Amino acid sequence: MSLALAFRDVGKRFGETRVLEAFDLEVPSGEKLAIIGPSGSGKSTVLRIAMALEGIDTGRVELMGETLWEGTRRPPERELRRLRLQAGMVFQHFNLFPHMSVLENIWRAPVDVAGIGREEAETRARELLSRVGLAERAEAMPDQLSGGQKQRVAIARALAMRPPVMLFDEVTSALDPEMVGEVLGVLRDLADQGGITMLLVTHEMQFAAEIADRVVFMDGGRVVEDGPPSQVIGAPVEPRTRAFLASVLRGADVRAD
Amino acid sequence: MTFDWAYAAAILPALLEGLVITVQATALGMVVALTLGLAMAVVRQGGPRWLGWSVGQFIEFVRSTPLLIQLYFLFYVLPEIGVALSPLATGILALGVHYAAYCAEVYRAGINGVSRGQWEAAASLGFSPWQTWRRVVLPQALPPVIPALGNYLVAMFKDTPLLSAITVMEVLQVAKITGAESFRYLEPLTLVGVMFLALSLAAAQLIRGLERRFGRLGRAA
Ligand SMILES: Nc1ncnc2c1ncn2[C@@H]1O[C@H](COP(=O)(O)OP(=O)(O)OP(=O)(O)O)[C@@H](O)[C@H]1O
Ligand SMILES: [Mg+2]
Repeated sequence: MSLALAFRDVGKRFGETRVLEAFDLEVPSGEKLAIIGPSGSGKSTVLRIAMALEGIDTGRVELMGETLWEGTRRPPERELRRLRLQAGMVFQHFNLFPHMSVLENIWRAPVDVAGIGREEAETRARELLSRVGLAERAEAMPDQLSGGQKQRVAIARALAMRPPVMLFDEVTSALDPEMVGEVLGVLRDLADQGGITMLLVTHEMQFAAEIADRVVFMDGGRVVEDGPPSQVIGAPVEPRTRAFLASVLRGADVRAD
Repeated sequence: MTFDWAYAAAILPALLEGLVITVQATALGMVVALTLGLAMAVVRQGGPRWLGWSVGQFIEFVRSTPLLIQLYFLFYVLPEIGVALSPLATGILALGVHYAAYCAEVYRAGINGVSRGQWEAAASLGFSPWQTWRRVVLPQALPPVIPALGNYLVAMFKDTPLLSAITVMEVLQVAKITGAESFRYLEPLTLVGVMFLALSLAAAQLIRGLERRFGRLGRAA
């Protein structure tokens, strides 16, 4: 089976902070991978490296069979842009373009970057909007939307470029609790539909257990436990995974009180 | 000495001709300042490190030396290196470059107001650096700084009399010559003052309008 993404012995530091150390991860095409772990363990960094927003220091990263990063070598700007088309990213804080309508947020990159005609791009944008349940908000400006709606638009925007790999970085963490469900619903549909490789960094253990094929628990810049959700979330083997899940569940209890 | 209305009326046409030059110098100077300032701000943020650094030093230098000296410098040195510009063109260039340094700082504040997430969203969608500037960053960075740029327009307008130092026939130069011919300075200088007052007030009104229209800082969604 071909690999969508591969991290091979990757090291990454910010100044004195070692963020990733001897980090290895292989993601087969079409897999839905959940990444969990405590704050500061390097989860976002993994996604940002895969999105080519961040380089690495040692090792090698391959995206859809091509080398994205190798040591500190930085591919030329053009090459980087071509490789970026293989991945799309959805951010915790949406990062919608506030000066563009919802619809333009979605069609702008297909037109400017992929060179698709404006009319076709708008049609596709409307289709995507109805897929995320926002067909009637096409002409709205982002600041007129709720957090959940913004995040659904952000998902549609990333999908519009039809990347084979989608990266989701805690996409429900900035939302009010009553809006988490609508966004998870969109992710679930996407997962069910198949065909796209999905990496989800999430604190929603229940959700991760439901939709992921595989779960990776990270701590201190390494993969500590790696297996099916039934193992990593259901019956973790590693003491650190257990301790983490216990603290997450305690957190959930506290919130439920 | 009483104000001679008849004399004032007689010199008014000549003064208005000078005022046209003043307004011309301001308008063209501002075009230079706005475009060069933007180019410098963009290069500082997104250009090669050495170039950004050089531009930063240049801005520092321009802001630390008086406009009058820059005017004389261009007026006397440009011809020596083979660049023959009219006094007016030299004046416009000096005003433009001088105020470009200030505009660049204003633009920079606007650019810094665009969050890192916007740059990253643009990059993740595959936008080129140029597309990112044009489609994402500048449309958000510019509207909030328009009022501040407008203030520099007024400041530049009030600096144009300095161009009389390099023989440009702007309104103050005309007033001085008129006064010297008739030994009466009250009327020409009063008229010049009133002209500046009227145009500055009009410009201030314009800026208040701009502030109402663009004053709120753009926020990220
Ligand atoms: N640009 C940066 N400069 C300096 N340090 C950084 C930078 N980005 C991340 N770090 C550090 O790298 C480490 C890992 O960060 P990362 O954001 O990948 O963690 P995370 O697992 O996503 O955490 P969280 O759950 O809080 O989002 C942290 O210690 C963080 O402070
Ligand atoms: Mg994170």
